Amino acid sequence: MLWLYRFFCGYITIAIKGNYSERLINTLAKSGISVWHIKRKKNYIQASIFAHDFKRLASLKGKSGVKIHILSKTGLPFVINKYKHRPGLFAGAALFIVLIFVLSSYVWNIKVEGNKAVSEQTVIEACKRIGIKEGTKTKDVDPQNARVELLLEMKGLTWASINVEGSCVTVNVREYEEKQKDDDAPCNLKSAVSGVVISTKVTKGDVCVKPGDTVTKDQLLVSGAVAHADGTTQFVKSQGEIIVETTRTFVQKINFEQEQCIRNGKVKTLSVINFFGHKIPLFLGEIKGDYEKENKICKLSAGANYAPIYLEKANFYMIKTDRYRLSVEQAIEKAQKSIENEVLSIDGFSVVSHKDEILQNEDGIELKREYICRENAAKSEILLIDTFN
Amino acid sequence: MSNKNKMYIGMDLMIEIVSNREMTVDGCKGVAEYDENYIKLNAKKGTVTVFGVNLEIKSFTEAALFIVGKIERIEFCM
Repeated sequence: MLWLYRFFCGYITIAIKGNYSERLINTLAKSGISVWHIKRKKNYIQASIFAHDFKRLASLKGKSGVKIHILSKTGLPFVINKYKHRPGLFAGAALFIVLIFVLSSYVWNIKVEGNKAVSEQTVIEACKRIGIKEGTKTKDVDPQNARVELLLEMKGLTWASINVEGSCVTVNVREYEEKQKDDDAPCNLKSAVSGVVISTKVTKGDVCVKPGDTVTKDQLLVSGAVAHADGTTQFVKSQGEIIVETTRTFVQKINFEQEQCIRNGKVKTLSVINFFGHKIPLFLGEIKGDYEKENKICKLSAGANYAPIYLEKANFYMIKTDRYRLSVEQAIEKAQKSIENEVLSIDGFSVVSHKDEILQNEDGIELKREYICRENAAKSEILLIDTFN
Repeated sequence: MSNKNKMYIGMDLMIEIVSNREMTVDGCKGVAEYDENYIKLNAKKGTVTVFGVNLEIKSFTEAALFIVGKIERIEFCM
């Protein structure tokens, strides 16, 4: 730290020439002047003294009969002196120090840790609602109260902690995890739909239906209570597949007059500077007409941390509405495709056959499609056992 | 064993040596002669000469004198 002190005070490296150079060094030391880095060169002795001691050197030199030359001047006073005609430089440096000092008392980043199902953005939004956001003063963040408020704000959390480290707020959360259902609990299999049983593949439980039977919704298909020949009853978790043939009807209406929104090729880009959560627009006016918006955020980041000042760019793709008329065949085709897509999205659904019924009016068509399909109708239901009797 | 040794000479000069690299002299009256290979110091009673290689007076104040370099031997003339 001594070198820092010397730098701030400023020091001069001098060359002492003469036969009695050592005598001057002794005089300086006796006069209370600190001398350091004393080196013997070819025909002189090099030494360093504080800048404020240099004025005293002239009077002390006279006694020893040596010549003194300044070799170098080092330190902050000389740097300031060099740039004293450039006040802007000092103003800038001062402003920089003030800015760093002021900005460091605000929250720059909010980090979320420990989240799985809940998105980071959801937690950040919840933090914003309880008053913790980019630009909040760090001294205004009360971690103890904030964690309670966050838990009340987000029902899906079981635990939370908020830590303020410098300008970064770290939110640690634990989410509510639903207890896994007891996999071995005895259960029945009941019918999820109405239909005719086609086949049964049961690996556990007592089958209550056989192929050809008609079943209704919620009818017992496989019982978890298995009665043995010796009169005892065993409760098991029923497992298996009951394939049922069902009838499902889908209806789709398509108008002949159609509207389609397409991009017309015009793009407008508007930028906004986000400064500690405050948005400063870099444009005038507003976007008129219909558009599709795409946002892009340019952040200046270092590792996991990022500067709280970033650029938000929004691309506005202007769109136009295109009107056109469908023929009857095109309308039917569109309705068919729509229903087929809907059917494809249903799991475990195999189509046996289908029958279409088309109703046409002056506005459009209505396609009514009836599917005969096969699906696994078995759904588990926990077997409730009354132990009081 | 510590490599820091202290020598009290005539109660007016105190020399402290760290290995053969650093040496602090308290109560020194001044530098009589100074070279890279030897430094002759004035004491109250006599002189102390330090011989070595690349000797440098790191700092010299009223209180103490601090020498660095490879110290080979110290000679006392009391």
